[in-house]
This record gives sequence, structure tokens and C-alpha cells, in this order.
Amino acid sequence: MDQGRVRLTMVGFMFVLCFSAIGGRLLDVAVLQPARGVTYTVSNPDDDAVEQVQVSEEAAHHKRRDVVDRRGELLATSLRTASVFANPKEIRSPETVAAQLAPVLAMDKNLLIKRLKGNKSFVWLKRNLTPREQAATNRLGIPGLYFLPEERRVYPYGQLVSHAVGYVGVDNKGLAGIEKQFDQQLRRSSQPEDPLALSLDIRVQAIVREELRAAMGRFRAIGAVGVVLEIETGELLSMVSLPDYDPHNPSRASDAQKFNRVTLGTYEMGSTFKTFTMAMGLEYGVVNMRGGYDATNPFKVATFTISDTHPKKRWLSVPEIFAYSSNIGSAKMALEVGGKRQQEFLDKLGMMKPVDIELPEKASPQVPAQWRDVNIVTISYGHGISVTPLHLARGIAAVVADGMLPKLTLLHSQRHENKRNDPVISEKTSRDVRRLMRLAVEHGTGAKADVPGYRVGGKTGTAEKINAGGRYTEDAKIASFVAVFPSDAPKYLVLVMIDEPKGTDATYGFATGGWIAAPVVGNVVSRMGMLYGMTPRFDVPEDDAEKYWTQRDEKTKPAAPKAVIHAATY
Amino acid sequence: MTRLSITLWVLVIMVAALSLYQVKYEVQRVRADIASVTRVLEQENETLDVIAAEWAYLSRPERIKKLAQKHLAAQTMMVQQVADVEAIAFPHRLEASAAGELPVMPASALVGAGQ
Repeated sequence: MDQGRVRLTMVGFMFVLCFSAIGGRLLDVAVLQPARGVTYTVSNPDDDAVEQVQVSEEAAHHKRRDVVDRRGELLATSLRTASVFANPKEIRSPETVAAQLAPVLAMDKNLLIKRLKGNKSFVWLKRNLTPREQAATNRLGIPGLYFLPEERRVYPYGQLVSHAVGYVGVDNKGLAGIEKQFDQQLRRSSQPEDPLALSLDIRVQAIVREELRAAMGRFRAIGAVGVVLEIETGELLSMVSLPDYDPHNPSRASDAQKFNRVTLGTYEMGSTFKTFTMAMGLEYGVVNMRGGYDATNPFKVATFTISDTHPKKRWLSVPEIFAYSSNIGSAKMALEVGGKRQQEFLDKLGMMKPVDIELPEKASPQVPAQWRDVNIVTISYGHGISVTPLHLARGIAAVVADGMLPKLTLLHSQRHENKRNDPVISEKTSRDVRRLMRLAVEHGTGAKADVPGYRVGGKTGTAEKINAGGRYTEDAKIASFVAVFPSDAPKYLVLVMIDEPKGTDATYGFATGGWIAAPVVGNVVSRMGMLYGMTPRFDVPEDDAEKYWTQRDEKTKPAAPKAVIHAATY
Repeated sequence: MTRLSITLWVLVIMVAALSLYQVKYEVQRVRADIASVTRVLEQENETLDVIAAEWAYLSRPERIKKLAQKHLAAQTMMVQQVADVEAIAFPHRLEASAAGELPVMPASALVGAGQ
């Protein structure tokens, strides 16, 4: 009886033990789920550095966000691919495996042998296989080879937006452009996964790039820049820097290809800067639209002789100085304004600091340390100061848009918090600048940029480049043209620069802004206008620039400051 | 009394165990369903990604241009070919414009590719 009780207790105890064990395990499996995922020790095939990579399930599902243009066209996306890695410890004969794999993966056999012979438990063989490579590798059935799902960044438009969008490295880390600037935001998966919308319009980008490439080929130029800006919002519709590169293979591109001329290149802009000189002269009231300066003779400042490329050898009114691009006229105007105010004015136009734009590639302008009379004069026509094409575009946008310096952006946004900062120039001066730009196209050097009905206003620029010896040369120039349209209420700005063009028979050997860059702008404007369905108009009452061409008042000719101006001796 | 309550408890336990068993397997089945649907969804999403990328690749402006030049007789539209309907000189409008009521587009602007 007593024995039976003990036995029963024993059995009962065993049961309790067993069930508790099972219950505990149940709890463990059901409630306390173990963290899924695997930790690999990774040896990077490129640099042999060893790093710990946590490949969790969450990360595997995590997709880098897409980048789209303003209309939702896909500029960058991530596709799932497989990468193959090996565990060399599980591979018996590296030579045989390498011989089998080399043709399938299109890789060097010896390199494969070297990797497979390592004393590691993980080594990448090839990242981002194509589906065909993956299937073929699978078919070989080699033990010790494994696939890891990865994602690969794909740029459907390739070179077309390479400088704006940028590129990523093999581990999908942004290394240039928007990909680098917004690397964190693109990694963080937002719910729902909305893409990052850029301000670019892929169609305008294609037009600009095509026209630039055609011009580069025609004039055997070494590079080109194209910028299209929506003036009111400051959004860039197009940003092209040529030569460009394939973002899928950035390592194969040269430095010249990867260099973003629009934001990183600083150039002496040449005569397009006269727009600022005119705006400055009119704003500070040293001259008005009827006034002008004597441009009969070249004159000397220090050791420099200031002369005109297309000398008219007479008194020129302000619209004529601008339209004929007279260095003498703008130099005299700038001297009258004075260096301090010129410096102040250019500072307000943002010419002294890097442009604030959503790209990591940014350059500071090169501004003279001392502002002597020579600097006043050369800067009045765009030499002796180097800025990026973005600086120029933004400055021109400001002087035609009632003096409001726009905040340039590469992001598309429905609402723009328009910080109403102080206007750089008055509305009246801005109206005059718009008239001047229109007249330069109607009567002056910019004639080839005109598109009937779209009222293009603009300014040519031809800057001589400094050669290796530190001297300006006639042979290497930058031909540029900056245009706004429609000129009475500018909506878009188009800037085109062609680096080192060579004149052809069709341009009578000229390699100037008016012959080289202006026609490109004309083509871009006309194709853009068609694209956006802009109706050409021929009866615009506001287009009153014409009457300023004939009005002149030589009496207001101001005396040039005697101290600095001496008639040149030839 | 004791006997009755014990029988009752045993019954309750059996019913509870059975329904727990049922629910448990139901949950497993549903979980498996969800997993497979999620997998299908993921695959579909991946396919969509690929298709979107392909679509963008195939609609590259330079490719469209080449195709258009090859297959269409259409030419690039010119600025001179665009006008508001109001600006077109229909006969009844000509009379009105002669009376100074309507602006009329200059003829040069309507006759094709001059410049």
C-alpha cells in the first residue's frame, strides 16, 4: 500500500517534469521567437578587407527607394538580383570548380582559384548575376556555392541623367549626385514607398542633351553645359554636363566624364555678365535706358587695353552697348558705379558663395582678393571672376524676375515656401533688363536664338580660356548663351555653354556665343515650347522693347572718370 | 457529486484540448497561406519593378525618336504651325477683323517653315 503510493508519486512527478519541459519548449518556440538572420564574415573581393555583414530578413526585403522625374518617369530603381558566394572550406578542388565556373560567370579562372583557395568561410565570387548566369551556375550543382539575394540599382535612362542622379557603389551606397546627397532618405524605407521626385523633366533633358551633342559634334568641342530653369519656382528642368558617363559602370568613366560642369566647374563667363553690369548701372542710376557711353576708342586701365570685338567706333546707347556687346561701354558703366557697389551687387546676386543645391558636388566661385580698377573693368564683362553655370543661371533669373533671387532646387514640389528676401533690383530695373535682353536678340549678337512668337531675350558670351602658360588664348574659348522667354514675363531660362568649339565654314570660322551657342538655345526653346504647348504670340502689347532701340539722348553722356581712363594710343 | 464534477471537468478539458488543437492547426494553415500569398506578392512586386524599369528603358526619348522616324511619316512640329483657334482667319472672322473687332495673326506666321 505504502509502496504503491510512492510509485504513483514517482510516476506523477515524471509526468509533471515531462510536461513542464514540453510546455517550456512550446513557450520558447511560440512566444520567444529567435531573431532570424545570419551573420556572415565578408571578404570583399575588391580590397580583401574583412567586414561583418548582418544579412537579416528585414534588410533583404528592404528596397532602396526609386528616384523619378517631375512627371513620375523612373530615373533610378532597385531590382532584385542574386550574388554568388562560396565557402572555400567546403570546396574540395578549387581548380576544377574554377574551370567549370569561369565560362559561366565570364570571369578569369586564376582569379577564381585564388579566391576559392582562401582560408575563409565566405568569399564573394560575383555580385549581381544576371538571371541566365544564376540559372547556369545552379545547373552546375557545385557544393559549397551559395546565392544571396541582393538588389541592384538600375538607371533606365542611363547617361541621360547621370550627373543629376549620380550613382551607387556595389553595396548600394550613394557615391555621387542625388544618390549621395539623399543616401539616408533613400535607404530608409518609407511607408508607402513613395519615390523621390526630382524637378527634372526627362523630355526637356533629352532635348537639351541631344542639341548639345549635335553642337559638340558640329564644332568639335570638348564639352558642353545645358541648364533649363523654371524661373518662378527655381526648379531645374534640365541639367546636362557633357561628356557624361554610364551610371551602371562609373569606374569605367574618366574623370572628365564624371565631372559635373554645371555645379563643379567654375568659368569666366564672358559677356553674359554684362547683363549684371547693365542691371547694376540702371539700378544705381548712373545711366538710364536712353543714356550711353562713348565707345569710339579703346581705352587703357593700368596695363590693360579695353577694346570691342565688334567695334562701332561711335557713341552707343545702353541697349546698343548690350546688344553689340561693347566691352568699352560696360567697362565705363562699371567704373562709374564703382568697385565697392559692384562687389556688393554681385554679392547680393550670390556670386561670392557656392550655390545652395541638393548635390554634393559644389564649387566656390573664384573672386579676386583685391578689387582694383582693373578688376572692376574686367568683371563688368565677365573676366577675372569665375563662377559655376548655376551661379550665372540664378543671377540672370534674379535680374529678370523683379530682382528675386530664386532658391535653386533639384526636387519637385507642389508648394514652394517662397522666402521673400529683399529684391536685388527694383521691378522697374528688371523690366528694363528684360527689354535689353530682348533687344540683344532682335538687333544684336543673339539673333540666332530667336524663335518667332516666343519672344526670346538673351545675351551672348564668348570667354577666352587661360592656357597652360597662364595667358588668354584666341584658340580656346567658351561660347555661351543665356536666354529667357517669353521676354515680357519670363517663365523659363535656358543656358547653353560650349567648351572650346572650333568655327566651321557655316559660321565663317567664328567660334563665338552668337554663332555657336545661340542656335542651340533657339532649337531648345522652340522644341520646349512645342512640348509644353506654348502658343506663339505676335501681338503682345507688353513687348515694348522696340521703342527703346531708337530712343537715345546723347546729352546724358556722363564724363568718364578721368583718373582711370586714358585713350589708348592706337 | 465529486464523481460528477470530475466527469464534467474531464469533459471540459477534453473539449478545450480538442478545440485548442483545432485552432492551433487552423492558425498554422492560415500562417502558411499568408506566407505563400506574401511570397507571391513579393514576386509580383519584383516583376512589377522589372516591368517598370523595362518600360522606362524602352520609352527612352532617343529610342522613341528613332522609332518615330522609322515608322511615322510625321515631321517635327514647328512653332509656326501652332496658333490659338481664335487667331485663325476664318472667313466670318475676317469680316469681323476688318471691322476692327478681332486681332488676326499675320499671314507669315501661319504659312509654315519660313525661317
